[in-house]
Amino acid sequence: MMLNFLLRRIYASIATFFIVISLVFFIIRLTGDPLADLEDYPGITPEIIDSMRTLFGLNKPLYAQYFDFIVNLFKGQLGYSLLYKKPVAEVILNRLPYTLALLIPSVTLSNYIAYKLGLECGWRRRGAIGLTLLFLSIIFTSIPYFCFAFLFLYLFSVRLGVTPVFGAISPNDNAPFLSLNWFEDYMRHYILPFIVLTLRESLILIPYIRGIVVEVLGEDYITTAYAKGLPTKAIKYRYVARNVLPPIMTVMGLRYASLVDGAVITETIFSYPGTGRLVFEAIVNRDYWLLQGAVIILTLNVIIVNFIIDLIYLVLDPRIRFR
Amino acid sequence: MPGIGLYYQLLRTARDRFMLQLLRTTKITLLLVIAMLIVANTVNTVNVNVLDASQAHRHVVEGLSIVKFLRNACPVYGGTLRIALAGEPNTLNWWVASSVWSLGVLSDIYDRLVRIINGTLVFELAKRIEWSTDYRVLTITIVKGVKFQDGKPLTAYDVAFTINTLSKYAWTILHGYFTNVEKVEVVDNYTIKIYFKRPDPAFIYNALTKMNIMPKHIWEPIFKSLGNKVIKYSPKISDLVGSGPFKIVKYVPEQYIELVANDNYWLKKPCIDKLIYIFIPEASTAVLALQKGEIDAYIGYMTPEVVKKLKSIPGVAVHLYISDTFFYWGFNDAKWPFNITEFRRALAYAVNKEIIVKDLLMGYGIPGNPGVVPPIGVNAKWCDKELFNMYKFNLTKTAEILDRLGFRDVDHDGWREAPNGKDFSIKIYVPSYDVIRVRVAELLSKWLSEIPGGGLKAIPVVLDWKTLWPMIKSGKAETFLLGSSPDTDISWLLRRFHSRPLGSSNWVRYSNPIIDNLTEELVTVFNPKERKEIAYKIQEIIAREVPLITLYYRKFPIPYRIDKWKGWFLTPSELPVNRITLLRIHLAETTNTTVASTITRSNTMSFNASMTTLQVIIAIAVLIAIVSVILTLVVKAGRKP
Repeated sequence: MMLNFLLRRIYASIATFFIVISLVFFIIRLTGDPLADLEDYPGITPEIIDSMRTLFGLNKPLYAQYFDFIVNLFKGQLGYSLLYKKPVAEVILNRLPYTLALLIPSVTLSNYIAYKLGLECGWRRRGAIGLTLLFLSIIFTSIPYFCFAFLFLYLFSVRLGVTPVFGAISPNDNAPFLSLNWFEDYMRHYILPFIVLTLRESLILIPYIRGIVVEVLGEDYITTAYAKGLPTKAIKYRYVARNVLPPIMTVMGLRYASLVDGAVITETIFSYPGTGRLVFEAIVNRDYWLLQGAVIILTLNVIIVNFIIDLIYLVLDPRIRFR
Repeated sequence: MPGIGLYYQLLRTARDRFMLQLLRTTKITLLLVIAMLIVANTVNTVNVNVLDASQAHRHVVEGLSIVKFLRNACPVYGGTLRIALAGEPNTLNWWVASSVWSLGVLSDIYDRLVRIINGTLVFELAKRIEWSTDYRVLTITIVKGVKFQDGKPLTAYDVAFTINTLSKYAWTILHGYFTNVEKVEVVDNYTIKIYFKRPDPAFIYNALTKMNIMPKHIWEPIFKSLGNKVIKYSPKISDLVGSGPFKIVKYVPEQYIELVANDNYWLKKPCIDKLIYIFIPEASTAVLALQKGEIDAYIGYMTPEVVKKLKSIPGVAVHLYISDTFFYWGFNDAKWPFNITEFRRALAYAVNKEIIVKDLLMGYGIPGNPGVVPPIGVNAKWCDKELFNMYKFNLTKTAEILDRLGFRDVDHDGWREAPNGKDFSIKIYVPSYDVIRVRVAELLSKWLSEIPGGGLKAIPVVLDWKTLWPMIKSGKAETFLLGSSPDTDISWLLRRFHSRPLGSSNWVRYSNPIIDNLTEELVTVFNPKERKEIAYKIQEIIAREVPLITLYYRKFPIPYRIDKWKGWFLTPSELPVNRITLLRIHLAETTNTTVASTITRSNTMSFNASMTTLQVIIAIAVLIAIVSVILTLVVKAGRKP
C-alpha cells in the first residue's frame, strides 16, 4: 500500500519534470531571440550574428535542438550560457551556495516564528497581543518589500554603521576561505538580508495562520475538550496547535520550493549574490540555456519538496495513511 | 614586384642579343656580361624606388600622443579606488565581450594602438601610422620596449595575431571591421603592414580604436586547441594578461573584481595601488554606499531626481556624461503613408523636442539633430550644427501639410481621416523597459491629437523589447521609438541609411539613390575635408527627407568622490572612469584614515535633510518594540504546559 503510493509519486514526479522542462524549452523559444540585442550594435554585421547562431546551435530546426537538449541532459550537460559564455552548471553553482545559505535558515526560522506567533495571535485574537500582532503584520506587509528592505539598509548600514551596505564578502579582504576572519566578515554581510527576509516572511504568514487557528477553535472537538474540563494549555498545544499543522504544512513547505528564485529583491537591494537575479537575467536576456538549467534545478527543487511534504502528510494525517 | 619582372625581361632580351656572341666568346666575356646585367638591374630597381618615393604623397595619419595627457607626475602613490558598476561583466573573454561592463573592465588590462579621447584620435601603442599611395597598405610602427604583465615583450607579432584572429573568426565581436583585411605582414619586431582587399577609410577610427592588443603567446595555444569553441571559453585569471596599467588578480562572481596596478606599465606607473570594481545593481543602494564612503564612484543609471541629493553629500561631485546614442521616432518608410516624404515632414513639425528634454528628461538631454549625427564625442566633428534649427514645433504647419495631402476631418468627429475617407490612425510602438520612451509616445500622441482642424490619431503600444524587436526588424511596426548608437567613424551612416541589404541596420527601410551614392563615397574617400562635406550633404538630405525623427540624446549623472581622490579626467563624452583618469587619479594628499572617518560621519549628518533625527528615533523605537514583542512571544510560546 505504502510502497504503491511512493511509486506512484515517483512516476508522477518524473513525468512532471519532463513536461515542465519541455514546456519551458519551447515557450522560451517562442518569446524572443537571445541575440536580438546585439543586432543594433554598431559594427555587428549579420555575418557575425549568423556565425554565433551556428556555434550555439540556434540555426538547427527546433526538434533537433530539443533532441540535443534531452540527449545532453541524460549525459548530465546543461549546455553553455550565451550570456556568460560559460557552462550553465558552473554559472549556477557559483551562486547557488549563497542563496541556499541565506534562504534555508531564513525560511525555516520564519516558518517557526510564524507558526508560534500565528498560534498566539489566533489564540488571543481579541487580546492586546493578538490585535497588535495582526496590526503590525498588516502594516508591514502593506509596505512594499523594496521600501521595507531599504529602510533596514539605511538604518543599520548608514545610520548605525553596523553592517556593510553591499555584497556578501568585503572586497579587498584577503582572509582565507572559511577562516575565522572570513566567517566574521561573511556574517556581517549576512545578518541584515537574513533578518529582513525572515521578519518580512513571518509577518506575511501570521494572519494566514491566525485565520486557521480561529477556524480550528470553532470546531466541535475544541468545545468537547473544554467541556471535558481539560486545562487551557493542553487544549492550546494538544488540540489547536496540532490540528493547525496539516493545512499550513502545504504553505510552509512550498516556501522551500522557491529557494532558487525566491530572493530576487533581497539580492538586488543588498547586492547579495544569488540565483534569484540570475533567473531574472536569464529571462530578460532570453538566455535559453541558462534558463533551461535554472528551470531544471527549480523543478527538481519543487518536486523534491512536494515529495517530502507528501511524506510528512503521511505522518501528520493518519487519514491519508489508512485510506 | 617590378624588380624581379624587369630582371627577367632584361635577361630574356640579353639572351637573344648576346646568343651568338656567347657561343663564340670566352668564359670571361660571359662573366662580364652577367656582372653587367646584375649592375644594370640593381640600378634599375634603385631608379624605380626613387621614382616611387618622389611620387608618394605620404599619407601619415595624424593624432595626439597619449603622453600629452600624462605630463603630471603623481604627488602621492597608493590607495584603493573602488568603482561600483550597475552591471557585472558577463564574460572576460575579450573576443566575444559585447557588454559595456565587460569591455570597461577589460580595457584596463589591455592597450590599444590608438584610442579616442575627448573626440580626437590619440596614439597609444602606435608610434606612426601611414597609408600607402593607393591606400591598400597600412604601415604601423609600434612603440618599442612595451612588455606584457607576464614579462614577455609586446611586438608586431602580437598585433598581427590580434588582427588575423579578428579577421579569421566570424563570431568575434569586432569581426565586422576586419572583413576588408587581406593579410597582415610583420616587417620587423615593431612594424606591421596591413594589406586591404579594398581601401577602407573607416579602418583606423572604427577598428583600431576598439582593438585591444592581445598576447599571442597566451591566446594562440588556446585557439589552436579550441578553435571555434573559444566563443564558449571563459578565461582563467592567468589568461588575462595584457600590457595595460592594471592586472586582474581576483574575480568573485556577482560581487567584485580586484585589479592591482602594473608597476612596470610602459607609459607611467598608475598612482593608485588597487582598483576594485564592485557590482551594485540597485542605484539607491549605491547612493547609500556613496554616503557611507564605501565606494568612490558609481557607473550606472541614476534618475535625475537623485542628483540634488547626490550633490548634498559632502565630497561627492556629479559628472554629466552625454551618451551619443540617438533616440528617434522611426517609421517604416516603405509603408503607406510613411512613404510620403511630406507626411513625415508634417509629423516632424508636430514634435516638440525642447519639451521632451525639459519635462521628460528633466533637462538631462540634448534635442536631436534633424540630420541624426550626434554633436557629441568623436561624431561632433562631422555634425552639421546648423540643422538644429529646422522643424520648430508648429502644429499649424502640420495641419497645412496634412490638408494638402488630403488627410482631412471629413466626418467632423475631431479626427482626421485618410484621403479615401476611411478612419485613420497610426501606432507608436515602444519598448516597455524605458519609461521615458513610453512617456514620449504619450506626448507625441497628445500633440498629434491637438493639430488644428482635426487631430491625427496616434496610439502608443507598449511591448516587451524582445517581442517588439522582431517587429521592427521585419517592418511590422509602422512607427517605433528606438535608441541606436553611432559608430566611431562617420561611415556608420551607410549601415543606417543606405538601402537594404547594404544598409544592414536601416530599420526604417529608407531608400534614396542619392543617399546610397553619398554613403558609398564615405567608405571610399580618404580626404578628411571631403568626407566632412559628404557627411554634411547626407545630413542635409536626411533632415529634409525625414526618414526618421531624431528626438534626443541623453545625459547621465555620474557621482564620484572628490574629497578622497584628485585627478579625475572629465570630458562630457566620457565616463569619469577612463584610461586617463586611471593613470592620473591619486589620493588627495591630506587624506588619512582619521579624516576618512570624519568624512563618513559628516555624510551621515547631512542625511538629516531628508530624514529628521526624531523620525529615525521613532523608527528605531518601533523596530525595537517589534523585535521585543516577537522575542517575548516566541519565548512564551516555547514553554509547554
